[in-house]
Amino acid sequence: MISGYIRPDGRAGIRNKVLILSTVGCANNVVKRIASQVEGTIGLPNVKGCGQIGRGIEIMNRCLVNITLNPNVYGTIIVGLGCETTKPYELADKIRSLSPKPVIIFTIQELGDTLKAIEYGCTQARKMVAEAARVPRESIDPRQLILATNCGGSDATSGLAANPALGACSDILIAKGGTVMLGETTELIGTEDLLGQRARNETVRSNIYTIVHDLEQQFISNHIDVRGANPTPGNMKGGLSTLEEKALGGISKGGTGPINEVISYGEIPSKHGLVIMDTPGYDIESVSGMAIGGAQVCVFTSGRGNPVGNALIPVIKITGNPETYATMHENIDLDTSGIIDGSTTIDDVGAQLYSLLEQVCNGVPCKSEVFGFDDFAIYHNQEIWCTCDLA
Amino acid sequence: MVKQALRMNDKDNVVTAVTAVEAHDQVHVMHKDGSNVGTIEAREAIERYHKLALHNIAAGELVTKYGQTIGRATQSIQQGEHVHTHNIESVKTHD
Repeated sequence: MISGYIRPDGRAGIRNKVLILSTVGCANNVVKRIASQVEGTIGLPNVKGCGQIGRGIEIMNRCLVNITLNPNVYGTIIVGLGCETTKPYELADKIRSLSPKPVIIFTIQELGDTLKAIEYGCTQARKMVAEAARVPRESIDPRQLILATNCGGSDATSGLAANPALGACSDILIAKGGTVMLGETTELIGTEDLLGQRARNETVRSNIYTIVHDLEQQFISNHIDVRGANPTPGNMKGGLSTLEEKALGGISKGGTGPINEVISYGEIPSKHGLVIMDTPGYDIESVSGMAIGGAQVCVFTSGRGNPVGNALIPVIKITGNPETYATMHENIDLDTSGIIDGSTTIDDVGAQLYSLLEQVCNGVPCKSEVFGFDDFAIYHNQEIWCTCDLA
Repeated sequence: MVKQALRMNDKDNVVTAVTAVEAHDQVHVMHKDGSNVGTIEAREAIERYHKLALHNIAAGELVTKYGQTIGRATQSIQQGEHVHTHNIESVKTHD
């Protein structure tokens, strides 16, 4: 059984956070000071929020709105500077049109200075934390759960143990009506035909090809041959023979189900079951994109070991490498290497992982949470700066 | 020590050695659900996490792991032989 917090928009969270959200880097220090002063809040600094153009603005605005809709968030205090391209008051209006969750907005420029902004923000945050504490935990349906998946620091054990074990766990959640997100488009290159065959319909199939081919074109325009560079010499030494083999090991995280939808970075899925989100290869941006899209929890596989957490969602770490688990068990929640030595099976570890997932959903902190690792980064592109060749 | 290999899917014609294997070792092949697939004899030394052929594979035949195509055999491969970059290649259907 899974318990959580039912939000006024009908979604269900497994954590109950008050978010202090910066709309632009210029407001980050105010956000950090409010969050450090008021227990029960999480501060989310912004890596940009101004000086962006085109699709960069579109992605940033979508992400800032959807972050607040994440069901682990009780309510949000938006802190702006006042003149940024993200237009904080318009963001607040957009959020209010999508969900009745609490939203408070102010800018540093309208309040006068940072001291006044911090004081006002702390007062508002204290009130919101008190309100959030009144929301009870109650039983929630696994249909409401969205599981983010990611892999980082992969090695030969990843495709043999950790990723297939996560796949078995994904299949369990999907059988109960839940949703699983598969991302990291860089690692889908080479599997587009196989994923295309699993697409629910022609639109999904076409979208799979679009995200893979668009990314590959970006690599080609930067004179990078992804297919030729993969698998890497290290991968080959580890036993991987072809790009398809490497990529299949990665996509096994999502399980065996049909692919029901392809969504943009930070977008909220409209379908249940397995969905693909177009996320970059950088792990913190990839996990953050899925959290922005509404995932309440993540399972992250690693071969060489990885400590990252996330500000919005618990990130459960698993590895198939027994040496990594031995040296890094303070950061890793589950050792799946029994699959490799034959002492257990993929299906059994998948069931064990699902049980761990339930415990974490019910409030048991995973290791990245215990240490307070609050990594978060919104992917942003469309940069403009001088790239000319100087004499 | 028992030599073991893992078969990820019923359709697979290659299995992954999860212990290093010497030539002529009897390799116990296990399915991912824990069931016994059978025993094959390794034809050569194979490093841990590298693959060996579960059946004879003809030149040009597709090589299957995870139940899906990972490449095509560039030469005939005997049961128990090392399967790697020297005898399979990527199937680049969209190049």
